[in-house]
Amino acid sequence: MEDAASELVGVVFDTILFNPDFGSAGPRIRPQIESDRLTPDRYADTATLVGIIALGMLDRDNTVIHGVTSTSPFIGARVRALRDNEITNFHKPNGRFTVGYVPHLLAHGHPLIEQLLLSLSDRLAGLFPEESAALSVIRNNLAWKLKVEQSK
Amino acid sequence: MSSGAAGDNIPIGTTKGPGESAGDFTIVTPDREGVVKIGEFIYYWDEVDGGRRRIFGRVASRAHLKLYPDAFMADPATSPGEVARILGFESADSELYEVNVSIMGHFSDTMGFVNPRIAPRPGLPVFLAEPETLAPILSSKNPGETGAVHVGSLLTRGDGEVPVSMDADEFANTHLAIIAGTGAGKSYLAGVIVEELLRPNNAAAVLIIDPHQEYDTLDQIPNIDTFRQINSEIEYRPEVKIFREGEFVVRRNVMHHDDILYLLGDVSTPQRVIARRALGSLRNKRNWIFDDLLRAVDNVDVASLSGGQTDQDGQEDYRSSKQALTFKLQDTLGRRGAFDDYKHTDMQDLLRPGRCSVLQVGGMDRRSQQIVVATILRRAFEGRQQTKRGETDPRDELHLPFPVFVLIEEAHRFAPPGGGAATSNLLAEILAEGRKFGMGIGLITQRPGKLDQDVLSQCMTQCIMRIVNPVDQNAVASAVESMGRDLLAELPALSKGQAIVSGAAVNTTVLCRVRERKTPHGGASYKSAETWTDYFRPEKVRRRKTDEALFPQPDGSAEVDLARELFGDD
Repeated sequence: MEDAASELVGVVFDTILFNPDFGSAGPRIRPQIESDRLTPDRYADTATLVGIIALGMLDRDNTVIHGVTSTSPFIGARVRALRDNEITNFHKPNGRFTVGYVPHLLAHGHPLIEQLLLSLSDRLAGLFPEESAALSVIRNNLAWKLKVEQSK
Repeated sequence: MSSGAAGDNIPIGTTKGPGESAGDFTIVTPDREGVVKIGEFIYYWDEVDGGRRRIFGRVASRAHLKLYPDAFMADPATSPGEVARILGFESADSELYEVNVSIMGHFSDTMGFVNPRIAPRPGLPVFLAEPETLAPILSSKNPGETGAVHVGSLLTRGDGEVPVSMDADEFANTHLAIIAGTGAGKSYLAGVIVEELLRPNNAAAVLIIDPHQEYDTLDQIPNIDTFRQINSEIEYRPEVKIFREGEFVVRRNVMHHDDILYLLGDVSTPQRVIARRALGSLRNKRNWIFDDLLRAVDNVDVASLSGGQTDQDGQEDYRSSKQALTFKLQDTLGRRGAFDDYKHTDMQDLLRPGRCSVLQVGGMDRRSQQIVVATILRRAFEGRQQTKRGETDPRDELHLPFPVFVLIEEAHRFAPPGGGAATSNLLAEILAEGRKFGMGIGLITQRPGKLDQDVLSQCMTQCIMRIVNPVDQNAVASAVESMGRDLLAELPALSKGQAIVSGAAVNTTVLCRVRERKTPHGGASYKSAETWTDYFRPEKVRRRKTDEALFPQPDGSAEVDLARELFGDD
């Protein structure tokens, strides 16, 4: 998400299908042809809501912050996917690899976060093969908690 | 609130509060430099008796307050610190410790360490004691000073940074114990102590009882410059005299009657009665010889022993006992070597200032060793007593007008638990009263559990090295009151050449790295593998083959025709 000076970096963690008509017995009893005239504002109500957790910030001057940011996104801000080189820059501030947002993500408490972190670490291991040993320590620890301890 | 003062180091921690016991307190430290070691000395400033003083303490134990999660250590090739860094923890302070410290107190030149009897307030900065502060408070004597026995340096600091010296006056009066398991370096340390005692600043009269020939390398001391001093104040050159077996002799008529009876070993009651009578009959004959004793045995009135009865069988029993006793005496007291009718190793030859006499008693059986040691110790002790009371003149053999120090290796042989050895009572007496007469004993043992606990507890200075055996650890714990439990726990963890020095000769218990010896070490372990492989060196193999070819086998199994071997069939 962009603003003038910096970009908020986040990760998609959830999607919700939004359809207010689902289960509604009201307007749908009318023929579809009349529906537009009767309830025009309902026409575009179905949508896919994408849940994004902010991981940090990437300033224009390449300053990187992982974790809680000092700004929040505003309504209408443009959202775009990061390119691989931008992902690299975000994870290598000052040339050293870091995933300092992990504790922040884990504190979020969403049931899908750990699963998200597993897939994130897999992707990062592909982008940063030289860090795969340390990443696998974090990944294996998460996997153990997620797949073994929670199955008990 | 008290804080540091000019000259202090950077604080290494902060006081937290009282510790597990009344004599402890705790500090919290990140210990970035890794200096807060077990046995290390630290201090804080506090108000005591109206003045600001350094309160010293010794680190007893430490525990983590903050640890990396176990899961961070899942990959041995990846450090937990690296995992933490990737997760965004960049600080170098990844560790935090709670350290238990034994309070020693503030140091007073007259009183030594004075315990403030109160734990420090929370939040005071804690400093590592500086070497120049520490050295004079750990040891009452500086190396080189009269009475200083420089045994090494503080283990927790660099080699030689903080010297540790024992006070010779203290341990030569109130006795010394060197306790260590096999191979921990006890005879090495004893060698260091003897070297120090023979330096010009001490010039001590030392006698070593050496059952294993470990101290003969000390004879190089007179050849080393640092042990000599010749100037306007002193003309000193130490002497080391090794008495090998046969070179020291105990005259039989100076031996204690009980010692002679002990030397006989297990004898029957009639034999013991006859021996006692015979020795009793020689009481008025000052210079009796061995034949006189045998005649006295022969002259014992058998009839009086059997209660005046005319029972022939009873008298016959006593006659055969006389014969058996005669054999026994000839086999023990009568043997040449350690005992003689006329010759006698003079006490003044054994003991004089600046001389170390090493008595190698290894070749004797256990009882003879005890008797020789008992006789020498008794005469030295009598000599000191008589000299102090003014009962001797300089020509007397027992005139010993100077304190003496006797170092006894394998001390458990001479003072087993519960007594029973010829030396037991005598050692107990000297240890209890030696201080009055200037006679000090140094006991060296690898089996404190097999040493009489009363005897061990009389040694007021202890040098304790690595001990693994729990029985021996317990023996040390019960006999050595001054050493804290925390340091006792260190005993199995000590390395070779590291010692805990405790008791009267030092101001406080210290972990010490024993200094290097000036003379070669004589008690090193045998190089078994080297000797075994040496057996198969080609020249040795060839020589054996030659020897076996030329000479007939001892059992005669292989007859060798020497003429044929040497000149062939022609």
